[in-house]
Amino acid sequence: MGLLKITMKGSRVHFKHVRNILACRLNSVFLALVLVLSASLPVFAKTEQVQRVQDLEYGVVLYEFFQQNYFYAMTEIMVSQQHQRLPNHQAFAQLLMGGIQLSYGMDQQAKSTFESFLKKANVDKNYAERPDTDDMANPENRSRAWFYLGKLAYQKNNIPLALDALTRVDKTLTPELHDEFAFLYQKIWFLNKEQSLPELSFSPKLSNKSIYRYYRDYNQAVNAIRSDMTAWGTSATALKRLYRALNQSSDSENINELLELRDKVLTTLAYLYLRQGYSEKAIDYFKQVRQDGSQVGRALVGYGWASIYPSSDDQIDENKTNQINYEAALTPWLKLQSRSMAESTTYEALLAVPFIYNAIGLKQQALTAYDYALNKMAEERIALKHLQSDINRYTVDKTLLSIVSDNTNSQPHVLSGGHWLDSEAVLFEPAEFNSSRLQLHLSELLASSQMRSLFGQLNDIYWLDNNLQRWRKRLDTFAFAVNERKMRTAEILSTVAQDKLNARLEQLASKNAQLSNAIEKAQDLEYADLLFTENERKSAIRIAKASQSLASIERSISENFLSDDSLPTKKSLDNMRQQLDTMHAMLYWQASSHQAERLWQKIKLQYEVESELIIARERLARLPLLADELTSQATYLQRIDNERQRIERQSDNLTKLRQKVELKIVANLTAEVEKRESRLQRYIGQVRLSKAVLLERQLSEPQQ
Amino acid sequence: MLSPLSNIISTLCFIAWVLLSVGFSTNLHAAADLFIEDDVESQVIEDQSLDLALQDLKSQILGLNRDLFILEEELLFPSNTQLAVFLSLDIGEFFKLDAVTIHIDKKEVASHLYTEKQIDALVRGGVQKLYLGNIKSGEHEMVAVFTGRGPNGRDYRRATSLRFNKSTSAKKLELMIEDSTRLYQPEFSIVEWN
Repeated sequence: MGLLKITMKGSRVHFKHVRNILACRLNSVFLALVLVLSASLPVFAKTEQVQRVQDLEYGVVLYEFFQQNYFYAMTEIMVSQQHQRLPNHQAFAQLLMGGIQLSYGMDQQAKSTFESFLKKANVDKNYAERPDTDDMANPENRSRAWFYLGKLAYQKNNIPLALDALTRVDKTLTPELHDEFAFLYQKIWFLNKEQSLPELSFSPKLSNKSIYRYYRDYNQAVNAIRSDMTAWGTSATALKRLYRALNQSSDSENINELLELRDKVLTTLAYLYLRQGYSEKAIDYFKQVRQDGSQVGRALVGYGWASIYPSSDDQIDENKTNQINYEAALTPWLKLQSRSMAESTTYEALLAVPFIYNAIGLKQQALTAYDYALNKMAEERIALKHLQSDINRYTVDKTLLSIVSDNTNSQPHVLSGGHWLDSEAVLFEPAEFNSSRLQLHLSELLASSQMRSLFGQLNDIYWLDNNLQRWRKRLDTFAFAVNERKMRTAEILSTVAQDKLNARLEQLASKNAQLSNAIEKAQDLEYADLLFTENERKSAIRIAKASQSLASIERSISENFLSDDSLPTKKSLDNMRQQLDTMHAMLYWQASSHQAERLWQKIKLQYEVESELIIARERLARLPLLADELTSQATYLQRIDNERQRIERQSDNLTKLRQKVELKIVANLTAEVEKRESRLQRYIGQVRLSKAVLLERQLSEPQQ
Repeated sequence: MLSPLSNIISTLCFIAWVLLSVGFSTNLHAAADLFIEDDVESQVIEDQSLDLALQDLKSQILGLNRDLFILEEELLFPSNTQLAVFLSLDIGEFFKLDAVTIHIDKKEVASHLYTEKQIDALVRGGVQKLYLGNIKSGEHEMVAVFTGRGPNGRDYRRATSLRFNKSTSAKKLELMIEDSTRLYQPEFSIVEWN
């Protein structure tokens, strides 16, 4: 009798495990749902013609969102809203924000976002049929918001609010959400079967390809069995149909999920037949359950029991005791007892195998099997003690990583995985424990929705802390930049600096005045040399020098009355003079021919210089106003200080929260280990008792 | 005393009933909380305050991030000198973007190599903020050079330029890559936003 009770409990735990595995992926599915939300926004309808974003910042939000950088997407929305940069996408931005908040674990904020959206939508009385506009009052947007609000309420177990919200959804709901809406509404219907539900204004239908369809069919069948066991045949037919549909499914994306569900359908179907006494049919279904699936333990337990009764069609008759075939149960249960002790069904097998040996008269094998069970349980006890010692290593001044990883030196911030905040940069995940004792012994607990949620929170805390650390560094850079600017402004504002600048300006103004005079003078042909080019100027200098040399030679000859054939004659000197005069005249003639053009260029240049001088004077005059700049730099420094304080406060809060979450995780782990130890003790007690009873019977039986 | 068989039968019935009663399935998409057992339920209630505290903290840190981003923009990229360059992509049938480089007044200011994930985000309607910087008021020239795979998977490199005037308000430019179904070629352009 005890054995049978234990079997039932084992099965129950197994179901819990399966359900928890399903719940594990809840978070990623939330994100997928948000993607569905976004995918249905008009802006993404890129099949035929691209509908461009009307506010660039909204496009930036989407860019971050599609890369699953949800935190940055939210921040971008908040910054853009603050600057009023999303005038054309207010509604979508708000819906997107609510959706991300929902997937990000911020239920309260998501609720408030959706409620605020709906409030605004209701205020807009000027609504007309504008299905393509991003409008709060657009019925599609309203339906979407009501749907998400309803879903949120359902997740929070607030069924009346969920119903109220869901019944406000109408036919305008985007078709992508119809499947989920139908599924959600049906689940609420299951929960409220005794009460009549309000009528929906439209009838959402599950699409043929929807994965929800399989769950709906399964739930319907199980629900029918629970309500009326006499109609079990109809449910069995429905389950068989579902089984065939699952086998034929081509949904490769969800293949693991579908295989898991198929195992569940097979196990339920098998137990249904077993209950009705159709053992062989039950065995057929048990055999099809995958050996690496989560249902295998339950299936092996059921397979064993079904094997004991070889009946195929007839109801079990208590009088047909000769039909009992205990031996047949040995194969599945021997297999089951060799499985991991982390599974409760293994305990069942450890007790059941010696029971069977005893039942078929193999007393010695029964005793050996009891010893095997006791040994295996003793090993498990040692493993649990090690595990408890691992967990006890945790103290709040360490990170939890020190107990969950085999490598205590590894940094918590390099862990991979994913949670709410960031798809790639996430830090903490139970999947990291693969090689650790925790993973081996407590996989069921670690996969539970509660533990996943706690680890998810821890992930987010680490992520947020990293984020704050990045800002700390950036704030240091900001402060450095502001201080530099402040110093430069202060330098410029000093009297010495201003005097120097004034003196430089006056010098430049004086040079400009000289230039102006020169230009005016150059207008006279007599001063054509003022407009000479560089080459002309060099030529003029050379001519002047040559003239001077010639004059000197003439003077020497005439003063000393020299007469020598080797000296130039007066005639040749006159010729040279004439040549030089001609060159001089040519040079001035050439320059004068370009005078107008050159003069215009100089005047233009001088005009530009004057303009620059005016600007410089104005800037110099404005210098005292830079005092305002100094004030603004001081304001920035104050803001930076304030933000730094906020960062420190939040960082402290994060540390406190991290410790709380970690303590909670450790408490859960400890409780689970204690629970397992207690279960182990119970089983050890039962094995010992059964072995003692067997030994006692052997002793009391007459010697052969 | 019950015979072993009747004992087994009654227990089997009970097993089947228990398995069926707890076997009600719930989809991944909707929290598996239909049949929460008592102990789990009490744990959930205990954790609610922790959950709310974290939600509150997340909200506060998001607000802090918003303020810090605004501070950063005001401080490093004031509107009188701010220039922001964005990039958007059409369906991308005729061009698969690999990289883009931006030159402003003949000086390279930004370049970016794209990952598959980023391209996907662009194709789905996202807009990348490619460059945020400062320039003086007045006339400027921007040149954007795009490299990638063009029609028929061949290497493709194109440039586009724009002369623009920077006033005292923030300037936004959008680099647009579009498919020209008429020419069966990608088209590159730069659009000024007000």
